[in-house]
Amino acid sequence: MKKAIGASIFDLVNRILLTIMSATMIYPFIYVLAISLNKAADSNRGGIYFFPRQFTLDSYRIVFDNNELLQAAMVSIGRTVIGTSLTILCSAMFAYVFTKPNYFIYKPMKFIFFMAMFLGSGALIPVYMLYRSLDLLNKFSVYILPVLISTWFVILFRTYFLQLPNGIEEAAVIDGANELRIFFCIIIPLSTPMIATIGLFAAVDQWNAWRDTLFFTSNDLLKPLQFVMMEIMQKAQASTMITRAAMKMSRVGQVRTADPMSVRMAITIITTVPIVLVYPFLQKYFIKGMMIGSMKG
Amino acid sequence: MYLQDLIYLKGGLLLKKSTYSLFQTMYKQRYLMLMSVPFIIWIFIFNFAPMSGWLMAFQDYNPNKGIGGSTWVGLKHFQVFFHNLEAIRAVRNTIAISSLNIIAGNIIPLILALLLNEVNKMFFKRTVQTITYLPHFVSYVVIANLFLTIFGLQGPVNEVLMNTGITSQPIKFWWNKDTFWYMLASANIWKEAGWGAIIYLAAIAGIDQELYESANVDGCGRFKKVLYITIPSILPTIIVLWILSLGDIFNAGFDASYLLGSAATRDTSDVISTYVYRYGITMGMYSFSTAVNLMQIMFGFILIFISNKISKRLTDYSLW
Repeated sequence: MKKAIGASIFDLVNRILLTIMSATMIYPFIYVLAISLNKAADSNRGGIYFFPRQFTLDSYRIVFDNNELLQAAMVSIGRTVIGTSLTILCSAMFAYVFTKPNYFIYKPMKFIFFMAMFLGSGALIPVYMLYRSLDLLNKFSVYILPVLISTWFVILFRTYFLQLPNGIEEAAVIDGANELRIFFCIIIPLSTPMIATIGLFAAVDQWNAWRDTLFFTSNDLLKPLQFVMMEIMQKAQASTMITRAAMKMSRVGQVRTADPMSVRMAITIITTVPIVLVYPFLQKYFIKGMMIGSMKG
Repeated sequence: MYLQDLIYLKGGLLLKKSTYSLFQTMYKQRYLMLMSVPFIIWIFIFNFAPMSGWLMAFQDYNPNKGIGGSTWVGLKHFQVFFHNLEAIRAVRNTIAISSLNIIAGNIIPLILALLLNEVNKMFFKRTVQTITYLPHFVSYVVIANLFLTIFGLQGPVNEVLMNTGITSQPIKFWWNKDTFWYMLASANIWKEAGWGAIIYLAAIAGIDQELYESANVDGCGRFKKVLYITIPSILPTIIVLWILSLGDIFNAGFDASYLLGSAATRDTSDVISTYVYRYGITMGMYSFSTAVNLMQIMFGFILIFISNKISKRLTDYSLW
């Protein structure tokens, strides 16, 4: 009897701990959502924790009316769609060749692959100079070409391909199908779980990327959403002290429909929503993918 | 093995046909070549070509003249680096921040995994997991945005602290160089804790259930089972993850420092990668920046080798 009580107390404490942990993970998003949906002038009064007090969609209207932000959204969507599909195609194709030990350059190819994995992309300035000589700077392709192949994705795909049943492929060989055909007509259709997993990883990488913009482009038309948000955030951070002082001086009367703060929060929500809509549904796939990946380092 | 290459003998024995000449093989495997040669070329361009650029660390590199035309200066930039206080500071910050990341970033996910494993309501467990994965998938820009807002001067944390009278002035969480390392490490751990737990959960799932059953027979409580079965069983995983994360000690992450650091915290927020960016791309000191970057990469390699050796010796598990 005593043991049962101890166990249920432990269960309760455990639940509470985990609930608190989850709450800290999700609360910042709730707060930002509330601020983005509240009237900006009202938000400055403080006291908003969970729900908007004076509901408005003004901040979102501002975001969707802003041409710079729309352009940035187009860049983000473009690089995510194009980049992800090409990364999946190239990494999967390369991985498929790695399941063919009879290939006459299999061994050197494997060596080259592991060297690439070990070395990574290398130092920043040499990479910058390389892109300069390839004429990639200030081009949209700088978002796509350097990430066509990811060694990690290749390993994940290869591990998955190796555990597919052999028989179907052999049957296709006897029917006279070549490797390219086998890859597109048999391997790819059989690999939807892995494609979903890697598609998620690659899409998240593309959607979240902003460093390549910082390093390799200075073209305003190529800024993705994340980068624009980063710029707004840095401006806000630099002026935090100033605005606070200014706000104290000119306290009341100033009614602004929206200020950078609530717009910033709206962009934060807009960039987060697509991710929230996708990853929970792929959970069982990517957990499996992570396990395979972790086995291989 | 190619089916066409096999001759089926009477006894059911498979034998390989006589070997082909190189050109015959190339022709037979032309589709495989089509599917791999472009990517091998890609690796040469994007992974190997930048390595020739490492030479510029030993030059006064001039982009118009290229590596062939620039003057060689030997180890000048490395000497400058070691006499530069700002550079030493960047190295110190890198090691401090990544150490915090490694220590707490391995303990918290482990605790989370152990707690999750004790939950027997599947729905609750799944929900907690889904929520804790969220920060992993969100970009660091969003994370920085959230943290700067929540812990901002007018943010809810300061509001609560001031309303309850704990402080009279808002606390400058992000503009205080003394606490910056810990704030940054907390942000990193907050982001990756749920994701990091996956691998521990996988290791726990691999434990032989009979061990628990025999412990039940012996009358072990839940706490004892965790202590004497779960933890010892996943100890190799824990050790491997710890050792291998040592290789990251010179990698503190560009995003966190660049986004969350400010002029007020430069003293503790500047890490090697932000330093390399600032000197290399913003100021155009190509050679010096590459020299610093090269040292970071080299020390990283050495550490990976060492930690891999240790891992092999202790746990029989290694990266290669």
